[in-house]
Amino acid sequence: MSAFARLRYRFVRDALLPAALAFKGGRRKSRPPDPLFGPPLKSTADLRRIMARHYALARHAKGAMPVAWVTSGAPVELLRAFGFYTVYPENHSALCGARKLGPEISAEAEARGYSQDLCSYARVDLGHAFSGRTPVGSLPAPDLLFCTNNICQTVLYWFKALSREHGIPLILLDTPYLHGGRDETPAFAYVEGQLRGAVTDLERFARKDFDEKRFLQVLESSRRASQLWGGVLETLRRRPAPMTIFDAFVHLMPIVSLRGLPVCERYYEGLLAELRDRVERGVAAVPGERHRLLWDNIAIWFALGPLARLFAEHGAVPVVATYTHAWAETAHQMDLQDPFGALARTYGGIFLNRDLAHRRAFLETLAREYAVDGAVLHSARSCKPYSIGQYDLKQSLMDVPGIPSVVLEADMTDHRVWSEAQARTRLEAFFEALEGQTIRNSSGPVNA
Amino acid sequence: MDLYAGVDVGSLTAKAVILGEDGSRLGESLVRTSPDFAESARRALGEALSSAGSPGAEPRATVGTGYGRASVPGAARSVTEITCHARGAAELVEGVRLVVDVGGQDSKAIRVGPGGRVEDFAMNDKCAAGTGRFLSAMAETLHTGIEGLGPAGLRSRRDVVLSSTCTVFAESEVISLLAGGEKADDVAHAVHLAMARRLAGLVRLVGAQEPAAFTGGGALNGDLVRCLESVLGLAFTVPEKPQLAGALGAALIARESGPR
Amino acid sequence: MSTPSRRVYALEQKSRGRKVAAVFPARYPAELLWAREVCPVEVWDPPAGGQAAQAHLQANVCSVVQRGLSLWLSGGTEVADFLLFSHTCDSLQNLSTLVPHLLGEKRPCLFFYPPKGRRDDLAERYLVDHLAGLSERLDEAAGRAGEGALERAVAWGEARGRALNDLYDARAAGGLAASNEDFYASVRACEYLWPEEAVQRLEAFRRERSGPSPPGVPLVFSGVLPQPAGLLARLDGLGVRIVEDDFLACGRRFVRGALPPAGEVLSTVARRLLALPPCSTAGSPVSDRLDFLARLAGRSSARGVVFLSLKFCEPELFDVPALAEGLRSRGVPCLVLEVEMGGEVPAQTLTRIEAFLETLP
Repeated sequence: MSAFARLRYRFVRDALLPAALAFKGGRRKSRPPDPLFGPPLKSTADLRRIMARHYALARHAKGAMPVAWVTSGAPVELLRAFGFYTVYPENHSALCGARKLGPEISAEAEARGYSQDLCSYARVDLGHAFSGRTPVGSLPAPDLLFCTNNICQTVLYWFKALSREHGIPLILLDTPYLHGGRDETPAFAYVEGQLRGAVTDLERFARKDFDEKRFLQVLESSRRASQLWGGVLETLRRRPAPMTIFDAFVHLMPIVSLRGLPVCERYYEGLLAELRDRVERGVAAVPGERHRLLWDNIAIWFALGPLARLFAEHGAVPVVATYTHAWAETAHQMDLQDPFGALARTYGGIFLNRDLAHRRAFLETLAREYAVDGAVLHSARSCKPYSIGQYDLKQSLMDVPGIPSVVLEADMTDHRVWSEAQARTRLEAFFEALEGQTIRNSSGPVNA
Repeated sequence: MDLYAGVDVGSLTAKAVILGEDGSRLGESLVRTSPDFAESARRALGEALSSAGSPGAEPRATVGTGYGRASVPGAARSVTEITCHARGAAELVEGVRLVVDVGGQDSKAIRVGPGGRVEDFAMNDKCAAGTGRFLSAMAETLHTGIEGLGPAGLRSRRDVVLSSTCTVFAESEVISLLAGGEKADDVAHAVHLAMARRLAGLVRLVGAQEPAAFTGGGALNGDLVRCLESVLGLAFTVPEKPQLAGALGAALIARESGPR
Repeated sequence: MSTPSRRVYALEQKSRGRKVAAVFPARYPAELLWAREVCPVEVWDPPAGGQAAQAHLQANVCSVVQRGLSLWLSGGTEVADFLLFSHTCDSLQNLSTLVPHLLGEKRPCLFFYPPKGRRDDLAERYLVDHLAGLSERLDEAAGRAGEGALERAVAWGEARGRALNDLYDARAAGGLAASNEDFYASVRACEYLWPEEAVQRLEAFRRERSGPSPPGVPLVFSGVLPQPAGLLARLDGLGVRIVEDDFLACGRRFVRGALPPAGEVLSTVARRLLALPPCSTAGSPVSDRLDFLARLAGRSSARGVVFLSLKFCEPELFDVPALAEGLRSRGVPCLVLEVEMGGEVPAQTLTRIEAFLETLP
């Protein structure tokens, strides 16, 4: 790390960027209103600024502070205590997917022998590592990798490959899968032991002592941000929903990548206030809301726009998702009296690290709480832990709470495996079925 | 003069090349394969011998290659088409370092060392896309015929994007594009570009290098070759009669190793 | 020496008063089952059982899971008293919960999670605790282990490990007169034979086949299993001699060389699990696996390494590119083959193997 780099970073952060972003923000053209959708969220402009700032700052972080690449389910709070600049390659891959660059960048990894059958997030990221190609200008190369396999084992294989490619250390938190309601103590004790061990490793790596006070502050901030995010999602229980899950996928980025930082809390305070205001005024995200839906699995990043449109045309509004809920569901477990134990339970206990009985119960609860009429199960080719079992969960939702579902075979970032025609057909048939159901169910005015 | 024969029995066509003991190229043939590989091999060999002016002669050594290589009657040995294409291309293109071969059922990229030795290879033989089969399907959908596909693409003036990599998806995408008003020439070019990208993936697995040769039936498609050149930034030489490269390689090996 | 099918063998074990557990791959503490007179019968590549699994699994799930589920759906595991699932990868993880929690399996479904990416004290402590918990569940499912039974089972495990080491050493040194087919028939019997029988069989095989190995091109093979089923015979026909392997079901199943120090019995079991060869499913660093493969190639004078990548097998597919690149840069020729489970070997696969042989100096 160099003092010059640190000075430059601060200059960019405190002087250059605020000016540049204010200027850029003012130049955005306003689009004509679209009758299918309610007015766009004002917070989205803030979100864009925050993410632009994050990636712009990232370019100057290298050398100014240690840079860590982190998995979405990792306890980043530890890294924040040491002042790491954090990059989330899953987030970056999602962005590449949204810009339709998934296959192109993935081809760089495929050229090195990585099979197309592997997770597309990993392929895009490895493709970036091998070629430097990215739509965000440049990403700072990591000094350290921080990986937790609670979301899947693929991140471990992927980060291992990154570690080898960059020649840098990998800190792994191995979170044993929680199966069948057995005693979870050995698993959580193991995770806690690893967390403490990680602190020692980080002290050695960053060459400074663990700042416990800062750590507790970060934990508190994280907990608050998660609660705020939970509040944001809860506003979608209202009819009409002030925001859709397609929007939520986009507004998810700060809680994933900036959790524990003040900017994250501030952002969600703003978004929550805006949504509550909409609820009070009865402002709908989709004025023609007729069918409320649950979305399972990660977003189809390269088709969010067309999908949002197709859904809205049929008055179908996704109002709850397992994916977005992941960053709210364990917030209450952050206990500052026992921070390491709390982190172990919070991160070791996320729903993706638990069995399908738990998943089914989670789906049933969400379906009930959000009063949904149907479910869309995105079977993401890349994501086996999230996708295997969906065919039977579809069946189980038919039984309890008795709602129809449609399975969409797609992927997060690789649009080569997506047939828009096929997806459209399935969804339209599904919406027709829902419509038929609604007409049958309604007595009197059609229920929205 | 002693004759040496190489017979390449593919799934669609069988080819044979006859060499003299001085290495001169005396005769060749290309016939359609029947499900009986041995019969196809015999027919190809017979026609090649006739074209060499020695009908009914018995070559001193014969090497069989291709999918049906085990069924070539009279062959002293069988050698894979990878080795034979490399050897053949090395003979046709001086100092060749990379061979891309697009056949009916498969496509391959071969990194070639001195003397036409295979250093590394990558194949696409499980999926129709990236093979002659893909081009045939597209030629039919575009109503150009397989011979007209290349010229159509070369006439293209407009960039159209074909994003599907699966043959089935691509066919329906092509139909949509045509229905949407795109010209067949432009869609043909898009098809070639998509296929070139796929082939480029194979090439990158073995390493792109010049001099590079393009062999097999796919090499007759001038637009496909041009697209591959532009995607990789490499110049490709298409030897005369590119489908015969495998049989030539086999004949050269027959001459080098002699009867066994 | 022919071996009965797994089902027939399992029935025979039951008639002897033992219990049977259907075990899904890969690593698991067999000693804990043996100590309770439970014969583990591993489910790796049962015969293809129709398309029933398609209703429950996406198409891009590997054959180990597809066939395993097919077997279960068709009642093929009925002879087992309980099921044990090992957490080897994401697909097997979801299979382990799909079967009991969504598909209604009523028999006990036990679950084993070996540590990933670490072999240190923390991993050992966790593993010991986990094994203690698993032992309690096994007590419920199969009854308690008798006095000294676990120590005896540990000794059987050692004996089996020694027998495997001897066999592999003999083959690597060129002193085993056995075809590829016969070798793997013998080794793969460990997937279901009662340990004492497995040891007898392995030792007998070693004795009977003592002598120079058949001629052929010596190669190291790496992957999950020797599949497709017809491959070994074809390799014998092509004159390829597998001289060492890193198959998950075979060469990665036993501790190579000296065992770690013993301690309290569950610690011993834990340490042996942690001392198994480097493995993609265990999160071992690529460099460890690379060193291991290079050592295997060196000690067996192999002329190259062939990777049999089972289609859709993520842990292996992530490791293979770096392994192949690493070996090639050390001057070891490599061939990477994508294979699927089945009987016949596709012509394309044979062509690639032959072409590879043709490239070897």
